[in-house]
Amino acid sequence: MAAEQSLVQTTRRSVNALYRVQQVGGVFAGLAGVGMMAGGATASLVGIPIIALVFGGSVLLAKRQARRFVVEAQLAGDAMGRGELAKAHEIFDYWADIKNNHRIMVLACHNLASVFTQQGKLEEARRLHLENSEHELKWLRRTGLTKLSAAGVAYTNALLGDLDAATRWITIAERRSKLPQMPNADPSLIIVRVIVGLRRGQSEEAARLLDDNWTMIEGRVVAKSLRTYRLLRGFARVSMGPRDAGRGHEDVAMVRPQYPNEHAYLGTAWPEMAAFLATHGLVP
Amino acid sequence: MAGLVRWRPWAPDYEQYIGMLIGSEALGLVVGFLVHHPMLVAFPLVVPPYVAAKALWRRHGRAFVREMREAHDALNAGNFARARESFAYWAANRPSPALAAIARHDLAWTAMCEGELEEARDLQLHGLTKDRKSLERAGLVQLSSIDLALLFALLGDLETAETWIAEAEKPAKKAPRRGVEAIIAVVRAVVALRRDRAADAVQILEDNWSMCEARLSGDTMRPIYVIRAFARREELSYQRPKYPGELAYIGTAWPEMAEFLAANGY
Repeated sequence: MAAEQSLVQTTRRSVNALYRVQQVGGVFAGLAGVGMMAGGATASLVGIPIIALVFGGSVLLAKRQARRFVVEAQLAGDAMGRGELAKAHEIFDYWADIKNNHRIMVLACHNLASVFTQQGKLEEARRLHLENSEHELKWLRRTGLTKLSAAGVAYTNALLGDLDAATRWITIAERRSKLPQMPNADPSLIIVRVIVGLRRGQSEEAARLLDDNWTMIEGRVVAKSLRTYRLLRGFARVSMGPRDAGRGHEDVAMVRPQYPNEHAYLGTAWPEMAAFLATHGLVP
Repeated sequence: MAGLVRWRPWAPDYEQYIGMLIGSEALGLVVGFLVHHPMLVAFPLVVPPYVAAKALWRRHGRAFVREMREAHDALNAGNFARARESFAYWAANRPSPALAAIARHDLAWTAMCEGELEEARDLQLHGLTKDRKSLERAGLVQLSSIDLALLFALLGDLETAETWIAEAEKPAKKAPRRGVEAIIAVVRAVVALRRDRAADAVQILEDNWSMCEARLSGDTMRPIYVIRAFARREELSYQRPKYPGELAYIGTAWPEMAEFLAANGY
């Protein structure tokens, strides 16, 4: 843990330094460009190397920055897996503010919204997903996040009980089908449909939707997230009545909380789910 | 278990910087026209070929993503022939060495899932020795190394497996793939199990379990659940085969595991 913390701090210092270097380099390149325009061939001999240096340097710096983001995002993902949501929040909150790389920023914002969701801060998660999904479409497109981001808005709306908005965002997400898309975008849409179905009392359809797509979901979603799908399937099966309750309890037995309140966020604004979690000992 | 390579559309690339370059070229063109600067007139000669190449590349990339995803789904459902067809096509696709390297990696994984461990080993070995540059471009050196270590471990060549684990642990030039560290832990556990050190294997898996679940997909975790149950000498009551012969490859050259799989309905 201490090593992870030190890695994060070192990374941040370097990233901030890199950003300042890029800014200064940009100013020099601009001056060189103006010099070239005004000074003719001789000035070009000086200006072209300066612009090439700034351009090449920017590429190298961006590569380093992206590499660091990947490392930190993995640490944050691991922390979420252990239930250390505050740590994950801290990491993504930092990267969500990054100014010189929109790709990283939209991805970090998306992940930060996911942390908010896990923390039960559904309103904040919805706001962030919405902001990303409506105002950063260009960068979402470039990062393959358009569909997943819309699914995120739909997911938080569904958990908050605003089923009309959730359905509207499902439609928007379906329209955003141009590749590339994140592998977990389609499974995320399925989970939203399941929640909407369950909250409308259509347990059988919800369970069937999950069963029909289980192989695809299992192949595209990390095992940690798969636990939520399994829990929802358990809830759907138990809600279907005594005939299916046995299989539902099997699902529930496989998702016993790995840390306190692992699943609590699902019941934050969903009383039936909150009661189910309490009845089955899935919340402290 | 490495699992398949997922396309990383958010991975850093040079697009935005090339965009900046084009922007500056366009600005240069306008200013060059205004001040009659002869050098700047050359810029338009560069831009159209670049734009055309970029459009073609994007089209190529989209086709790759679409087909890889379909192939991954087919493989997860046990349709090996369908998966092989796509991976083999893209593996032979020379205009994009990095994409070919990804496809070859997934082709090796498919061969392994079919129980063709030697074929899978040879494919990975070929990539790592003969086509290493493409693997580096695709950021796959670590993942391929650990896959190869896994194959050697499953085949019972534990010394070579450890050599490749060490190779996978070396820092890579590109950002590491998400699952590499988790897979290294799993392969270490497999090596320990094959050396009859079950307690060590259990400990390794316990120490890295939350990382495995946070980084590996559900289908990649399926064989790991089996390995953990085998290490703990417990029944595998919570997981059933998705199709006949699923995960049988783990026991192809590992008799004790084959017995365990048979006892648990695999």
